[in-house]
Amino acid sequence: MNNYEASIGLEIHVQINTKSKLFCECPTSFGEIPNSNICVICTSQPGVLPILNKKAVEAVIKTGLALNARINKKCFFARKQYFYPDIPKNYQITQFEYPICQEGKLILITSNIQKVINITRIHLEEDAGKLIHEFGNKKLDYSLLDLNRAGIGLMEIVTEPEINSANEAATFLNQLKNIIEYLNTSECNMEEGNMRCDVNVSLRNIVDKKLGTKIEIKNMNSISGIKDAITYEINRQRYILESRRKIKQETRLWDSNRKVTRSMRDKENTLDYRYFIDPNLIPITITETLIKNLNSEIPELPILKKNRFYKEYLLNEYDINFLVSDKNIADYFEKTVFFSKNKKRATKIIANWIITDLMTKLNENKLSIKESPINCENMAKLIDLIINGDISNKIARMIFEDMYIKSSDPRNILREKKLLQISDKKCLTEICNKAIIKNSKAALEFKNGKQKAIYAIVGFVMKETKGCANPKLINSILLELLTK
Amino acid sequence: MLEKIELLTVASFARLHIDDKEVDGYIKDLNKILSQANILQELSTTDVVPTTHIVTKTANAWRSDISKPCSYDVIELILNNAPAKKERFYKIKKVLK
Repeated sequence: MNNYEASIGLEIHVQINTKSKLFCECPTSFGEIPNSNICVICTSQPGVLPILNKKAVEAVIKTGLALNARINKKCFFARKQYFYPDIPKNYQITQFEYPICQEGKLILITSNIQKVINITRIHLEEDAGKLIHEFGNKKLDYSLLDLNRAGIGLMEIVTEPEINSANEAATFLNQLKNIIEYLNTSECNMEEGNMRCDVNVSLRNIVDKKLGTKIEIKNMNSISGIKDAITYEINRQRYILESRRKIKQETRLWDSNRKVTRSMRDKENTLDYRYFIDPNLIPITITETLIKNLNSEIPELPILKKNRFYKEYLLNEYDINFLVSDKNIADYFEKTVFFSKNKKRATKIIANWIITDLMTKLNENKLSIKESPINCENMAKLIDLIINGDISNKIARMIFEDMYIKSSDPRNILREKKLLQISDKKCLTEICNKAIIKNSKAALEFKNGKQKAIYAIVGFVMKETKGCANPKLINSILLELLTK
Repeated sequence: MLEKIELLTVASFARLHIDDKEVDGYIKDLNKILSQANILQELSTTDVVPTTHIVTKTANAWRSDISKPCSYDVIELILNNAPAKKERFYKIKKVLK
């Protein structure tokens, strides 16, 4: 019975990449001693006044521009009032009727469809403190509050309920994360809670125009968790609807251990937040000049970069997706191609070396590509040596190891280790002849039709030349000698 | 006119406890205040821009993104002023069941 369609809307909270908090000068560093990044403003001492961080406003505008949103020229801050100890003021400074951005969109690209997901708004607000209810596995009979996070700038990105499946939601979040990382307006580190998501899910019979009753799943902090929670919730709601019962509007929590959503509070007594414009913060005026300046700082975004990579480098989809997934990796790739002397042949080989060898090594050492001990220029030299036939792939891997440790020019390592590939036919024929004599049994077997026997002889040549012989050349010489 | 349920809601927002026997008195007083405010409704405000701020400054009031940690003494003062502490945390009533 597949006559239901899911409508999913996301509210994504993204911690803005600033050095200081939104309304005070406290640092925003993660993992500090509890209640050490606090001051009179973010702990809401009586009589203090907030002072807005300009960079946070700029980050929201930039993100809005990248998502094709309209930027409101005049915006206000509002107070959202609720009683919960994570905000000592009893209200959160946020934006209500006049957010910085409205009416944006993101083009969702999955393997079989492209569709537009409209973004209702992006607004700026302050984060709340962190509550702790348990120590390790031990549940506490009180709660603990750490205000280090309180007051850090957040942008809340709200989508229309136009996402129709768990997979689309995951793709949307990955694409959004990718864009924000390109803009560098947030670290988007979900483990550190830089990006958190509330998910609204409702089901409707496809013949109905109206959306069904929505369920909100609060505070999700991993994309895989969001996927699981949506899948669970769609199945749960379908079961209720198919058994002709009604869905109750409520907020639910995702239990990642039991892989179910649990009821948290129902929306019958919807909280009245009593929003009103914050009199302590004067309106923000956003000028055309500021928008123009910020627009010029936006780098080439992932979708455009992908299309260009297809055309310019003729790589396959896997390679391009990998390279473009991180702006720094894409930059490293392009710079290496730039330094290469044989660009046309080098692109695919460079992509392979970055994706497999370099990234594996960097991941092992927990380094980012920006911290790579091998710079683009040396990487290009290594690839050129391979293309010119100066070194075999095997030798290239050995040199690569040395380059990684010493950050040096591959040609210097070659010279030091005397590893230049032997492509001198006369010299190799001599060694091959010797190899056939030393491996007479294998030679005989090969002549009698056992093709694989040649490997023993090739192995001998390799050993004699310390792996520097050109493997293609050895093969052709041996075949020539053995079939004479 | 204000009714009991609204009175109790407003009281809960203000964190006030109101006894049953106080309800009538509060309703009477609050309705008196509201009817005073009602006089303003007689005036036409169609051409009046809502006043959101007392300063009508149009330039932005914002600062550069520079972090400056608060002095240790002030942080200690803030923490010591908390009704209850546990190590460096604020200790508060359990909020999750």
